[in-house]
Amino acid sequence: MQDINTVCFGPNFSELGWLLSRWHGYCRLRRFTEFKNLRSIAVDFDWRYPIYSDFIDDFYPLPKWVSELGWEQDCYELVPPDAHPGAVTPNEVYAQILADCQKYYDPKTTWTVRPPRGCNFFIQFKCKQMWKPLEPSENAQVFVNSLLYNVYNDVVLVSARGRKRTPQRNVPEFVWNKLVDMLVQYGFTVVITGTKDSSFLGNKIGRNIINMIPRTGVDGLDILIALMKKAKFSITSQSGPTHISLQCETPAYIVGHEAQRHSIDENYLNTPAMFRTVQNNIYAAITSEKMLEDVLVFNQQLTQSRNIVDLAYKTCYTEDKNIMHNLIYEPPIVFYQIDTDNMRKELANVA
Amino acid sequence: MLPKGKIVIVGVLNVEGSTNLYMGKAFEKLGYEVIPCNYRTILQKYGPRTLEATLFKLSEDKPDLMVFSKCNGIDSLIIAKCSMNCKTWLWYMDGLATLSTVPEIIEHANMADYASCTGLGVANYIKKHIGEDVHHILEGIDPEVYRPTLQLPGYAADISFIGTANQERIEYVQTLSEAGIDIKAYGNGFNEEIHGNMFNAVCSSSTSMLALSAEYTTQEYFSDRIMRYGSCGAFVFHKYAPLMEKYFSDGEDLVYFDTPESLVEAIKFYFHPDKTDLRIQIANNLRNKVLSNYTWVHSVQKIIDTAEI
Repeated sequence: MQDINTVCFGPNFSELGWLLSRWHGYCRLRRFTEFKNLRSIAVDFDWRYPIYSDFIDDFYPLPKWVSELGWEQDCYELVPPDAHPGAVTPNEVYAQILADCQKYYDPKTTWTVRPPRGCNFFIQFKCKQMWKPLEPSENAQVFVNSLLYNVYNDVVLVSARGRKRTPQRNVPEFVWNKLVDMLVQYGFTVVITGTKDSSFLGNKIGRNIINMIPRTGVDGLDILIALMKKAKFSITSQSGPTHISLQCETPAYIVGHEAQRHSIDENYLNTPAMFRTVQNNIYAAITSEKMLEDVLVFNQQLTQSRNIVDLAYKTCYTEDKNIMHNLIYEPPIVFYQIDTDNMRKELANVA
Repeated sequence: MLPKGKIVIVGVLNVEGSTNLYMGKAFEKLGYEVIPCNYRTILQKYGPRTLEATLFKLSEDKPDLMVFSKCNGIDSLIIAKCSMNCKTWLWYMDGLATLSTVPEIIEHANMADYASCTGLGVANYIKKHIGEDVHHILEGIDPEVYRPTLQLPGYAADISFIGTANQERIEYVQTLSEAGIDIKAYGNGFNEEIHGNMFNAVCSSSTSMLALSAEYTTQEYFSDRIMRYGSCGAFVFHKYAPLMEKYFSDGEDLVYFDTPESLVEAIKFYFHPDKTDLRIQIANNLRNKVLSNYTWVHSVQKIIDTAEI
């Protein structure tokens, strides 16, 4: 048997939220522990490369034909558009993907670590995972810096889920539309993110609105992470961008039906989050006014906590430094100039 | 003159007597700007989230090094996050017994770029767990703080002990008293607690000083009190700890003992009027050795060399 010199994580083709919260941290941990001496590779959709950047040596995209199937990616696995909830990738397609991915590595010298199939909480509840904030590439940072060069307002990211699958979980587009307008009125610069196929507000334009949807390409996720790093907070209805925001440590205002999961259980980095639970799971019932009300409170809380951090930070450089110096150095000896003439006179008087 | 660089020390730098203060002073002596981060104060005043955000913000200033001094109770993830912005160092100054009560320190050492312990046994123990090198750097002393001073009659004694009372230490005090030796003990559980100049006055006024470590099982781990006594010019009796002779020679720099009875015998031997010069010589040897090898400047220089800053 030949020596193992490579570890391959994947191929992965589950939805982004599942990947990030129930698989990604586990791969990172194994990469840095038992596989630390091996070359590590990952196989996934081409646009997902940035989430592997901190622990993978080489990233390989899934074969082109997988994306060209046009199948639903927002499920446990890649499934045909009309597949029932909970479906997994048909076996013959799954086998073909595995076979095609073997061109990236030598199976005789490679360990492959594949995600569990279907709805499986084993890793989340039974295995240790290692978390690290997501980081954008340098190119994405340069792009976003130039994009926001003249922006002096607080930047808010809005991702308006508009998926065809489980459409009952979409907050209506008119609600998002009005919310964005109101946010602009309150002095925010709104960056609209998402993809053409699965997001609302693709055509929204206006003053202090930057719409990223028309330019979303293979670097979309990379750009999104770079934007997250610049934003004061994000607004999402629970979906992929929610996970991205939490894992970028960007405070998140989330509308949805699983508060515990998104704001606590899968908020591994303890990112500040405010969750608005929709009543009776009816996403259509939420109003833009209610969302704005929440968002303004959230914004105020963030500002306050940021001010406290600024104060604590500033104290290190000023008061604490002075206290330290007072404790470690003895006060300097002060020498007074003696007026000898005056002293002589005083002594003469005494005599 | 412009500083050579910037060092953030995360520890306790707002309490008199804290060893972090002397570490900071040594960094300043070597030309670095020191930014103190009193993590316990921030934690108490604002909570863990603000502490984490403050530490991360300090790391974004790209200091040359961030030293986390013990820092029990903080999330190790924050050390990992700071390591993305600058070099980080975990400084652990206690023995294995204390380590068992603060196991998160091992995780901290794993997350930091560098880690060091003041005891070799502790360094090896952590190294075994994290699989990476853990340096052994002794805690230093500040000779400007611990120095010979005027003798005060009220503190005169044959032998004095400074430290927190525990069963072993109380037994030693009782045994010596019963043997007719004039012993005075200071610290929590004994008489008054003494710091600063009073510490020096006790060392200078007492004929000898007694050194008892908190634990003796950890390899090459001993209290920094011996350095302080030595820097004050005291003649020291130290309870032997494994491999201590690598640092201090018996009968040359100090006098070792194992039991209260052997200590009584040693005191009787060295307190003979003929041995006065020998005592002075031994005390001078210890002071010379401490000032030449074990000041905070020496310890900090090792940190600087290891981290290549």
